[in-house]
Amino acid sequence: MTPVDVEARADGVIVLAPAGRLTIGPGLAELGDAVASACRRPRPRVVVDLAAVTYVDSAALGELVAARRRVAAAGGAFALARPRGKVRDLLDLTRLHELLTIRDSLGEASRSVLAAS
Amino acid sequence: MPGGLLLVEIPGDIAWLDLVQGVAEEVGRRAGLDDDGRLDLGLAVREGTVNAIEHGHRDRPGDPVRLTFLLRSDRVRVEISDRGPGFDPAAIPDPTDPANLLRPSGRGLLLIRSLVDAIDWRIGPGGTTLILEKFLVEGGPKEGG
Repeated sequence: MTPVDVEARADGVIVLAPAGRLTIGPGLAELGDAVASACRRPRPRVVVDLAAVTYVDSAALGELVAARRRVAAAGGAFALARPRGKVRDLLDLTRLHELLTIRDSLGEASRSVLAAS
Repeated sequence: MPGGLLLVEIPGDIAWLDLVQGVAEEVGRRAGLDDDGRLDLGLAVREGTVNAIEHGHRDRPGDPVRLTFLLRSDRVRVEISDRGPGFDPAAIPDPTDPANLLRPSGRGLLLIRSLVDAIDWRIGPGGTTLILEKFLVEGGPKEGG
């Protein structure tokens, strides 16, 4: 995968945008590091934008679960935006759509984490 | 498409996962799988190889994992062999149980089952072999075996 794009927006939302295949290895560790960095802020509001992710493996799904837990432990809010195709299918298959906040647009995901904080 | 046999042995290191996934996708392409089918096969083989490295070889890091790709007229069969003691699939907690949703791991087998048409194991004194099959014929293979 390509490096994770990190955007700290003016409204306080941190958008992490991995791209390509999000699978076990250095790229996934980079996403974990970006979440950990975001959690150094008080009450972090974190959105992982999956629009450019073509597929995920089980390790990536586990990393998203860990990210949600880490952000919650820091008193913040966490959401996923724009999962597509196979990524969406696997979130549904594993029933993580019941655990994670998932929105079809970046705007909706941002509003959800701002409203939750 | 003619049948064929391809053997790949990798060191027990996740750095080789892209290679085995690429081989699986290429085998799927030669077998005539469509884009989704190739991706499914590649991802299933990747997950199976991760299991072999992380669980089968938990106590023997670096031990090689052997993959056998078999092309038949009606299916692609992939065997992933490690030297581990094996496991009881029925004993693996259901990762979709609400009590388990927060667990960061344990979803690999669920993904594999969703990505291939058939799954089986051979567990013996020499190790464990995970067997994955992707059918090339709608509704299943034309004959048994």
